Amino acid sequence: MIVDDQFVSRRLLEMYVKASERYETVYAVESAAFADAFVLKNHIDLVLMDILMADGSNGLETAARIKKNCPEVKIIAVTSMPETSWLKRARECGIESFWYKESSKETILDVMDRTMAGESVYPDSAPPVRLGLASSAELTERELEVLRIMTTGVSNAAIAKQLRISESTVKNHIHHMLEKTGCQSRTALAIQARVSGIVVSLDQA
Amino acid sequence: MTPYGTLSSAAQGVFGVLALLLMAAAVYVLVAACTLRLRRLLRVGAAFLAAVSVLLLQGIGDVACCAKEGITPLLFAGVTARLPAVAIALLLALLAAAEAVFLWRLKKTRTTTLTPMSAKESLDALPDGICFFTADGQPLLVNTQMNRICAELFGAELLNAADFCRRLYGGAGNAAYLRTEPTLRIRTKDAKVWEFRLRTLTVRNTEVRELVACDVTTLCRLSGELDARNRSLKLLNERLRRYGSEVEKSTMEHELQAAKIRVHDNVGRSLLALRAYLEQPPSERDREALLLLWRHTAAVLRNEAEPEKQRSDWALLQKAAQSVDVQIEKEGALPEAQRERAVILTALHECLTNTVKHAKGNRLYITLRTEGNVLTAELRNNGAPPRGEIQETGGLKNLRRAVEKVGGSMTVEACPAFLLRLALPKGEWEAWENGK
Repeated sequence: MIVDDQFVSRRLLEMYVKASERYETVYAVESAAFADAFVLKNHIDLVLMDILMADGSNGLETAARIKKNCPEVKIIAVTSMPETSWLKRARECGIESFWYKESSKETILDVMDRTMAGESVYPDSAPPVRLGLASSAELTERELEVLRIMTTGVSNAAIAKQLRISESTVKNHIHHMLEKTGCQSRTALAIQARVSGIVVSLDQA
Repeated sequence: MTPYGTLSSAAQGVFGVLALLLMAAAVYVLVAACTLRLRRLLRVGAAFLAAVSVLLLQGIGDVACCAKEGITPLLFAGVTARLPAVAIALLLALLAAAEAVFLWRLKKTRTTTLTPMSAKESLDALPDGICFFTADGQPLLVNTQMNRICAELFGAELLNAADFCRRLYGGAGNAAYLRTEPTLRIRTKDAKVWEFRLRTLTVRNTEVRELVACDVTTLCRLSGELDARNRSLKLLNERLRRYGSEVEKSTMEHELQAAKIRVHDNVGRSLLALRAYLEQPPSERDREALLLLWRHTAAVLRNEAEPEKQRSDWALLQKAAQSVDVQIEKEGALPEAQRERAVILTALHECLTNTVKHAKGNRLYITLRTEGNVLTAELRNNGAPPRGEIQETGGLKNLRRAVEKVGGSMTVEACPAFLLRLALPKGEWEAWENGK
């Protein structure tokens, strides 16, 4: 089953699957909202799950539900967003493999084969993205966490409360990020981060 | 009985002093009775009292004069001299008693009757300054407050009101002039703000000028605050307006960006598809699929393709249900408001999973009703009833949380068959919309 909200992307995956002759597309669904219901019957072996959907549904949550109802169904998370935290969250959900649409070295068919063979295929890290003068790899995990909440447009105090750190620490993190990226203001930084997809807050999506 | 004329001169002196005092008191009583406008009978009484006391004093005085000159008192003095001293004393006592009654009566009248003096007294109690004067500036009535203001401004009491007005309106006062139109407003050294109004009245065909000074200190302070608030409101308004136009601009940029991304993504993925196509052996190439992709891309480039139409959440759910051979039978309409709709769909989703997984049914029934401001939903299925009590874990637990978050309630029945009941209060916004 393919779950992807973008027409071209979905068709492309379908094409790959069709061309492989080893797999067959049972369903191609455009939203993750109720996608977990499909696997209850239909003998689906593998789900290619896009993570961020335009309608606000969330592939990771749906994957977790599928894993709860039908643990035997294998899932490959598929995304074009370089958001780093999703790798960790996907592992926590029990997703077998993870594939970056545009930058993975392996083709999706390779990943599908290896996954079906019982392997778990995860990239070592999210693809590097340039954020101003810096590469995404130069930002620490904590800084990315701050940045992720910052893109939702909340105040430093709210960020501090959410991460259970002090407000001055938040300010420090932001200051470091501004220095590294050379952005003029926190707004510029937040916009760049959001556009590049380095951080995507699923809670507000 | 001893006639008065034979008394010693010392005794006569005592009588004389007493008569003089009583006469003064009688005259005072007469004047007061007239100014207080006592009843006519009382005024006549007071006059009679005064006349008697004057005559008595005259008689006593004449007797004293005759004794001093050594001549025999005649006429009025003779009558007085012949009267017994006791009678004179009695007369004096009677006079004193009558005057005491009159004084008591006057005191009582004074506290219950308005006099010109009471007008002055009440004006003095006013917090505002007031002054009536004639055209040539002669003050008719000036209250204490106005005198105080005059002293504050010019260092002297108000003597010529016309002169005072000329200097006041001429700007010569020792105070800050806040404005002169439409009324004069000044701030004195003690930080009080006074507003002056001058007008001409006609009283009994005579022109009388009236000058009033009102204490507007509080009013002035409040209006100052209001002005400051209005200024800041205006500023805010301006900012809001600018913000509005910024939002418009930013929305436009946003849409442009989205269009660019769409073109980029579509072309990119079509290229990827082309690569995949070319990588395959010629015999396995799927020209149809590739053509479809490129057609879509071309449409996007020509700006002909509509952004992908999103299927509604209800259609998506139905598709999911069909895939697992479950038919959802709905009675009543789904709420339009996003908040309630999301909860109902979550409930349907949860029940769909349970229908397939536990009940092994193929029908899911939902009945939606609106009663007043509460939306109720009942969900059942045609599968096997649950065995034993339902444990609210996972999905049902999450659903309960979602229901309670919008202020609703949820009950789950297992016997005789599975039944999920929801009651959701309609959002305030929707209630307002409906009530419009």
